[in-house]
Amino acid sequence: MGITGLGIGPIKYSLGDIVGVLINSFFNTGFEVEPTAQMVIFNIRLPRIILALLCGFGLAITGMQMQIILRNPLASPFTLGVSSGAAFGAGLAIISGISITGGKYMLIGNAFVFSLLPCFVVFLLSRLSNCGYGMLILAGIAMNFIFSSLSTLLSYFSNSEDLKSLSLWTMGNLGRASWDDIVPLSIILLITVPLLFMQNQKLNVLNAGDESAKGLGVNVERTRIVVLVLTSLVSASIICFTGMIGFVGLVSPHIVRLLIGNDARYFMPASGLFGAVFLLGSDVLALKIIEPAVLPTGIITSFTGCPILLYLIIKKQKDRAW
Amino acid sequence: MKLRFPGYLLVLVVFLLTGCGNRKADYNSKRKTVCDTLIDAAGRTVCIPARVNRVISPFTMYTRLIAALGGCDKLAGISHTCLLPEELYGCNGVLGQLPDIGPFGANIELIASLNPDLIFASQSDIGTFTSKTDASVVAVSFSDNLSMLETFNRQIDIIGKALRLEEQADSLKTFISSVLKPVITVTTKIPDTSRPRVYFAWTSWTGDILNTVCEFDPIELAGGINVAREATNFSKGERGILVSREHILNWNPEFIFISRYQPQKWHQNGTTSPIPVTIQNVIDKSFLQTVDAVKNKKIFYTTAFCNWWPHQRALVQILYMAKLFHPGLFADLDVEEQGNKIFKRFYGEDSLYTTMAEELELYRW
Repeated sequence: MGITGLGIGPIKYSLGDIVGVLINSFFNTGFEVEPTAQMVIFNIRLPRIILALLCGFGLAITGMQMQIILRNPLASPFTLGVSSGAAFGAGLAIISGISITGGKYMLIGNAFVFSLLPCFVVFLLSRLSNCGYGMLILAGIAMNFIFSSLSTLLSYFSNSEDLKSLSLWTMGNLGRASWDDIVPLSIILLITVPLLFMQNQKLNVLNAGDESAKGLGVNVERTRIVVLVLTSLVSASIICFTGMIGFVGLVSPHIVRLLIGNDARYFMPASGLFGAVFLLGSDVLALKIIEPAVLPTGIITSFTGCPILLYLIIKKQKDRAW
Repeated sequence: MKLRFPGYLLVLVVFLLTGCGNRKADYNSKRKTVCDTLIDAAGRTVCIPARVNRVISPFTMYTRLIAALGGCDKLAGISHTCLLPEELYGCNGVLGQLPDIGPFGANIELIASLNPDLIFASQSDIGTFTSKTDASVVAVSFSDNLSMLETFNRQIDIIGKALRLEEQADSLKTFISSVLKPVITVTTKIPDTSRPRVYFAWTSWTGDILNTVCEFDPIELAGGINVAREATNFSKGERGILVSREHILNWNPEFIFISRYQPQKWHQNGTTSPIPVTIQNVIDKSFLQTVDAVKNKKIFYTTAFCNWWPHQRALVQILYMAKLFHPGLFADLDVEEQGNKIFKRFYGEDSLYTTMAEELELYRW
């Protein structure tokens, strides 16, 4: 699908052109390629495709782990308030000019730091009050509301240009993808994803229930904290580059579960792969549907994810009824 | 038959209500008998009271026209949203000191407390102002189906009639026509093949130039072609669209305009930060190196929307772009002189365009 994606765009290139550009770029063979083709294929399309695959993978596996650890099929990477925190951070940078990093990473830095703030508050609450899964989710919902309200307050005092910028950012978009974004995101995923994979055995055991897991020697509390920290880091890293792209993390695990079941050892990579393909497909649709205008990718994932989710809810109800 | 106490009370209440209603009916009928009527932008027949001395303008685009028509002394409250620096000179400098009724007239209580005779409103606000005040409410909205200049003329007509400044309205329309005619009569004859391709970058605070508009009248009126116009079916007027980098490359514009309506980004807390996209940023963007506008360094700042067109800036923008696109055809056009003339017509002060051009780093000949 990635190769197909390289061929999709307003400028038509043959397979030979695409292969030529890729070989020239990666192996520096000195082939003569047209500068525009080099720019379009290697610097515009390829980063966009890679970013879609990385983000889709990351969102799907974090969604899957959140659903297991919080014991809630509607949990997603953004359940603990990551998305609303990030939107507030972005709004702060755009509307008020207050930023943590400044410079060209002003928006990204703010979105990253503020996306972790709600998670930190939720963790603190869970440590102080020893609350269960349900309370964690409620705390996350509360954080979502708080930061959404703060964003709304910022928006009220903004002008139309700022509002437009913030609105577009919150819709989620892969159009600004560049190698400068992919490198740091890849590093973060290279560190966090293997650590998440290492939790799979424990997640399988947790599926049987907390008491059973404790009986089998799993430190439930520690596992929960580790998974929540790692998933928050992954989600925050993704959202700060792309804006809010919803439903990938929510829907991908459910679809994959229907196909291969619940064993986290296979379920997790399969969810990741599905999420990667789902997001890439959505991005291609976003580019083509009302060409030359581009829809924000987050809109497409919502429009395609929502019906799937509704179908799953209805199917689950019917299965229970049987 | 004797009436018991509740009966007396009921009779009293009925008399009171009837009395109030009658007085209100008298008041309303008096208002109706001593008013002129006009058909507003929503197709409503509106009664304009005999004396219009306290006018509320929730949109700066209406305030500009009121100032240009000499209606400053009638203004009781305005929205300060999108009040541009040159507009603070308007109305002999008092425009900025008028009560701020909130963005688009959000402070209904303040508006009511100002006892307005007349409120200029958008179509969606008619009901709110009508129910919460006793003022006549005139819709002066614009439509996506009209061109920028047609909309200007409609707005001038409605506001002029409502304020009984029809002569001034005609004079303003004549002035606008006199300024633009020498340019438009030339540019309308330029065939598409001789028009430069132009990309308008409605700058985003995310630092990219992927936000543009499909219909940007000054470009067409100035003799250019807006490369994003093929997306017109989906988005008109001030509504922006996102495009991809590849589309910009494919369009290969000969000119890129970067929107700018303030010299720096001003924040609510009083701080400033640099604008997010500069000419140098665009020149340095790696993906734009093959684009003609970047190769030939035809990248310029231009003024932008702020809740629709600032009239005075839009008019100069046409002249500014025309001279950039077709320098040979408009060699004698002095953009700065005309700009100052236009700004003076609206705000009564000299050199306002020059000040703006310096602050926004517009191209100057």
